[in-house]
Amino acid sequence: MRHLRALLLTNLKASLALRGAFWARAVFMVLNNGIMLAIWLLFFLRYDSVRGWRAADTVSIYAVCATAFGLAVVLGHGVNDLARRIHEGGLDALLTQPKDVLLQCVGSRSEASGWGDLFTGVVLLAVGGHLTPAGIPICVVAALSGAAIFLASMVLFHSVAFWLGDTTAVSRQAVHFLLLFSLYPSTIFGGWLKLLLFTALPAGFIGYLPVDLLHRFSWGTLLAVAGAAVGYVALAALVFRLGLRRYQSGSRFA
Amino acid sequence: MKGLAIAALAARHALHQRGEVLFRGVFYLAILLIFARLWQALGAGGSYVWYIALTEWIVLSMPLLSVEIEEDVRRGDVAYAIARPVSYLRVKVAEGLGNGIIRLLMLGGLGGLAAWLLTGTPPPRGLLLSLPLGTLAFSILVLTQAAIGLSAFWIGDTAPLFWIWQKLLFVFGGLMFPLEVYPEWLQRAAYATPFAPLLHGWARLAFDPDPALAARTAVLLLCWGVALVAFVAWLYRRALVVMDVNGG
Repeated sequence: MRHLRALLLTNLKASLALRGAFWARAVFMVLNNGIMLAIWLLFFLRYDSVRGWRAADTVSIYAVCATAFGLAVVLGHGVNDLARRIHEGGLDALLTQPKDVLLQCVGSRSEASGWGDLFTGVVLLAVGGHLTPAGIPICVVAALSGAAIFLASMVLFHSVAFWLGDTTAVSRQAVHFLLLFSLYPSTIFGGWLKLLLFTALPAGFIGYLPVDLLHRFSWGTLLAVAGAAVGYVALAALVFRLGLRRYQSGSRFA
Repeated sequence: MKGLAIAALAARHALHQRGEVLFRGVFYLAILLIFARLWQALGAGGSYVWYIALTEWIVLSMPLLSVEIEEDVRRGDVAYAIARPVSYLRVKVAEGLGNGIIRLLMLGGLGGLAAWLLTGTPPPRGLLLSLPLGTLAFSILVLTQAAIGLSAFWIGDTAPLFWIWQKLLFVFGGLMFPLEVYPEWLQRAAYATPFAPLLHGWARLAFDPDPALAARTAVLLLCWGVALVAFVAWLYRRALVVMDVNGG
């Protein structure tokens, strides 16, 4: 834990070193999120609901996803370069260190715009009336599990590089898909698409179930969300470890 | 002529970057699938899906010119590029257009087929009228990307500026939903911005092929285009001055 804290503080210092760029990225991300949400709110002025999905649900899904995604990229933006590092032998330097390779790699960068996401998420949770004494623990579980699933999915998408070579573009595209599907009304998806959103692209566990949890708390949903977070993190760690056995040094200095 | 040759070269290069077009294509299909489900859930007609197929067509075909220019500025490569006998800005814009044309062709075919299959309705009757204006709008969008990229000479990181410009285009241009979905006051505000003709203006012609409307949209696009060319040229001249000062 001490190591993790030191890693996070170092990254935060590095992002804050360019103070102007840090604030520009964070503030513009808040505006960016606000505009996207505004488009949906305008849509719901015209259409009351989409199969029972209302404007309040969209505010909640933006709140949950922005908080989770913000946390994920503030704490672990290093994962964004994982496929490239695997392909180019960039893990060499981490393998010689006594700490966990995956943790080092994931925590090696922090994205300043994530603070903007985090701020947006917390404000929207407050606007939605979820930051009450009873609601705060639920928000914390939703945000932490969402961030964990985001990071775990990113590790899974990028770890494919151990087997397929340079998959940076495909891996990043998969992350975009995850984010894309997380933000739309869950009621429009059914059948095989719904199955996909609770397995390979776990948008259901990042957005839909946590929103359900915020609006209609049930222990079953809470367990499903927390269980999914633990499951995806364990799966990501396992796949990364299996991949690491196949990893070959980049011999960059040879 | 040099510009044409550079654009042709960039187009040939783009033909070999199949992977990138494939990713954009898969993303395009995912968006069409989501919106087809959304409009299906609301019991709306297939025209809404055809609408987003058109607007996303040019947005997803756009080259990331602002990122390329920012990188050149950051790495200092622009200093070498301006020594060449052709303007750096002209090269970048020509490359963007050459790349973009190939993406427009590939994604256009894919999007049209997907929209047809997802909705079961054939292409809207005014499609042939709207496509040339869509291509003109695309060229103007490439120029705006160049302007954002050139701002790197002053602000360094252009990403925040790009996000806001992109989101304003989404709202006032009516990327996801036609402007008719918005309240009337917002429709009026959107039509007063340059964003409306860039997406909604030409895309609606596919469903309402009125020649007068087409002429009005074309004039608007040309006016914004000329203003933007002047602005980008002025910005480039200013950027060269700034670079002289920094490199002195």
